[in-house]
Amino acid sequence: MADHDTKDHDDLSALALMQYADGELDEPEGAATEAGREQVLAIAELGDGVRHYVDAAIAEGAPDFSALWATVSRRIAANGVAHHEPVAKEVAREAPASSRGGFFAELGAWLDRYRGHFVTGAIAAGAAAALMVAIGGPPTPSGQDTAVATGPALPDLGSLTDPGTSPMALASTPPEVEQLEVYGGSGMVLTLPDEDGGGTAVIWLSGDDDATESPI
Amino acid sequence: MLYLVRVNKRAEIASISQHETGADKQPDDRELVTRAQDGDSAAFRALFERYHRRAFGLALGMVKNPDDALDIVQDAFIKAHRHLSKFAGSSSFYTWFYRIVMNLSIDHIRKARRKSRMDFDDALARAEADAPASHGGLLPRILGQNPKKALVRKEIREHIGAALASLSDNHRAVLVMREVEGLSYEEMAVVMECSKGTIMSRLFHARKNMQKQLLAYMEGQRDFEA
Repeated sequence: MADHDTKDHDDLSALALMQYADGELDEPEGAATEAGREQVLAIAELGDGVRHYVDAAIAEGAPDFSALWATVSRRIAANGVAHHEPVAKEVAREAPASSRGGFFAELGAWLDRYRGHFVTGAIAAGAAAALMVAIGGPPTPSGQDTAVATGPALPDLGSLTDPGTSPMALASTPPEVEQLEVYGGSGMVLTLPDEDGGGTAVIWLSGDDDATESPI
Repeated sequence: MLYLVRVNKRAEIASISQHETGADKQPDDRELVTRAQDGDSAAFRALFERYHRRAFGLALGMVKNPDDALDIVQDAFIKAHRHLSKFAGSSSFYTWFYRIVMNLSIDHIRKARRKSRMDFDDALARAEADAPASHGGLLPRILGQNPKKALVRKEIREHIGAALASLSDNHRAVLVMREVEGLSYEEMAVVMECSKGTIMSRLFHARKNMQKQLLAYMEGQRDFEA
């Protein structure tokens, strides 16, 4: 029992001396004794040893700190551009123009990020409405790479058309329909002739996983 | 008469750095963090410049291998960047960042251990349980009257490295943070997400264990010289 008490007391003293050596405690009882001084100095010496070991290891290892930021910023850009804007912006500024894709690649990437059933459905519905308003019926495809797309029967939209225009007049020249394969899905470009001889292109895109049907 | 001249190394470094670079006009960590959170990449780089060497020292003290330490520092900055928006500023940036460094270092060590199928923690726990307290539980003077002179000997340095490596992860972490970075008990408690009492206990046992390791070495040297 007495031994146990003595050990506890010694441990408490040692802890207090350690706190004192670390600057965490004012001078405790026993710090002025020979044994106390020895212990405090021993802690300081061990600390010196550890610091010298680390300093020497740094000197010997001689890491190339100058390249470290370049590596870190590159990895940040590669790993998490969405998480933090600035580095992504830097990289975007530095990206050569040649590394960027064409219009459809960018459009496909954009759709890949944002398309959902709602968006795609809205696009499809809009395209279908515009098409039906414009031509009043299924288009006749033309051109070497074109194909006729079939779809479900569409509701009569005649009541929605402007009575001042005649869609059927425009439909006298059938629109060109081009099937396209784009990133992550397929698409269609419908070129509708204008009255002045020009044309209006309607682009309809759908993803591979989209259940939305073609508007035509 | 004993004069206690231990200083907070981190504060000393900051003071020297400010003096040398006229850095008293430089923004503090909190301002840099706020700017970095707002998307200022230069501010994040300033934090990087301020802490990468010290992070390397911490990581090296933990994992020994400079290449591994450099990888850890890289990973730590990437992780800090990713989670910077979540840093609320309730603690200082460096304690938050050192926690990342320490966690990555410990992860690294554990992975390496799993790979080599060695379990130093168990061995250490057994050794600590069996170890008698020596002379009140703290260190005798093991490195002679002139530790700096003695430490130029590569052999001693290597032995200190080996002794450090033999410590448990938590013990090594507190010892390195205390001796290399001069963190206070309170700061270490924040970094390690534990109580100040736990930090004291870990530091105490870490030092005791280092003492045992180095004593064994010194006795071996004496036997060899005799």
